[in-house]
Amino acid sequence: MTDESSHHTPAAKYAVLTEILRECGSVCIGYSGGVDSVFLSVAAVDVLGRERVLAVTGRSAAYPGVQHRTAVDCARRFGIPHEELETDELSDPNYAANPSDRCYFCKTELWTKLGEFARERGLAVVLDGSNADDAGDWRPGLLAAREQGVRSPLLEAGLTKAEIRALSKRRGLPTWDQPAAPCLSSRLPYGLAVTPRRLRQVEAAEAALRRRGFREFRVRHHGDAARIEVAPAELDRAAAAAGPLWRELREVGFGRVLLDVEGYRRGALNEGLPVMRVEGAA
Amino acid sequence: MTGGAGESGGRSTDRVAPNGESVDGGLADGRSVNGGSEDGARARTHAVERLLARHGIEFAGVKAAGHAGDIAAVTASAASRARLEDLASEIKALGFKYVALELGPGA
Repeated sequence: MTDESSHHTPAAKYAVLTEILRECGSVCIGYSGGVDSVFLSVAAVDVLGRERVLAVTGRSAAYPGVQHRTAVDCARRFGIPHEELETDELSDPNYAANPSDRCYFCKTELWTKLGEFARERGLAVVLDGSNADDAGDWRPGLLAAREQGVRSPLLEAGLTKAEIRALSKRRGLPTWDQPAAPCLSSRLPYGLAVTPRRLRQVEAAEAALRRRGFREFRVRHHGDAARIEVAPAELDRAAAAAGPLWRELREVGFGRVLLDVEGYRRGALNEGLPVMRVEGAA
Repeated sequence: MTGGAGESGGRSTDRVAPNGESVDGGLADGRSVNGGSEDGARARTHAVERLLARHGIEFAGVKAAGHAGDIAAVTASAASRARLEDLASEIKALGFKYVALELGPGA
């Protein structure tokens, strides 16, 4: 193994992460309960100690209840100091109009509030859980983070999602194989207004799929129609469950229920949007 | 702007709630929820029907679905799903962004 390649192993990148955390001194972490933020929070507690770490969950109608339960459970099990605050991005017409840079307005709201939170508690740096894979995608939320002075230590250390999952598994974190769980607003195509009712419909529809044992899926809100995306391996099972799915999704208020024949594709709504390069990658 | 958070009232209106939603549940920019002209949608769905027929796929109908009319909603058997997936790129080339099986009675 060459000296250069030894810098690129997950262990080496984790060593870089610990140095970044020590450099920060004390941290306030945007904590959603997803794979990345749980891993980052546990790492921060391991490196800095509980007194210098606070994981904060921003809650709104767009934050999935199932992820909140994971966030609370992991904080309790792994001794992560945890608090919550309410965010109000739905009251921002820039956000509610659901443009392709919606995340910029959401994250501006979140990081503004977390910044105030951190200052009140004497914590030096606000962190997010962005990872190295995020640098090559459409991520207006990362721009908001940079503008608010938020650091992304996982991204800075060069840790990819796959590496974070592997390190999480080694650390015994139950989130190591958790599917990605973006906010509920991501189920609405750009241009369709984000409303509390539509978010509740999406959440209830996805709960119906979860109860039926589907693991990787999205229910996209297209006004009167729900378009279900499931993992390709589960498409035939979803087609066979057409009747029950139709009834349950009609009950949450959709007029038409559709099954996308191509299945779930992460970031499909971003197809055709330019890649946004954000500084901060290793 | 008038009104509160505005849930759907079932009537056509140009009122806009503070969150940008039209009170009838339409799009924030004022477009109708029916997505474009009916003639255009009909032409697109007929083109999809001809495509499916050429490939020997049995179906009961094709409709443009969604607030933007950009979903080709095909009423066909569950067994047709894989064949529709194979034709998805051709169906999209006829003016749709998504291809889906319509679920429900008669589907």
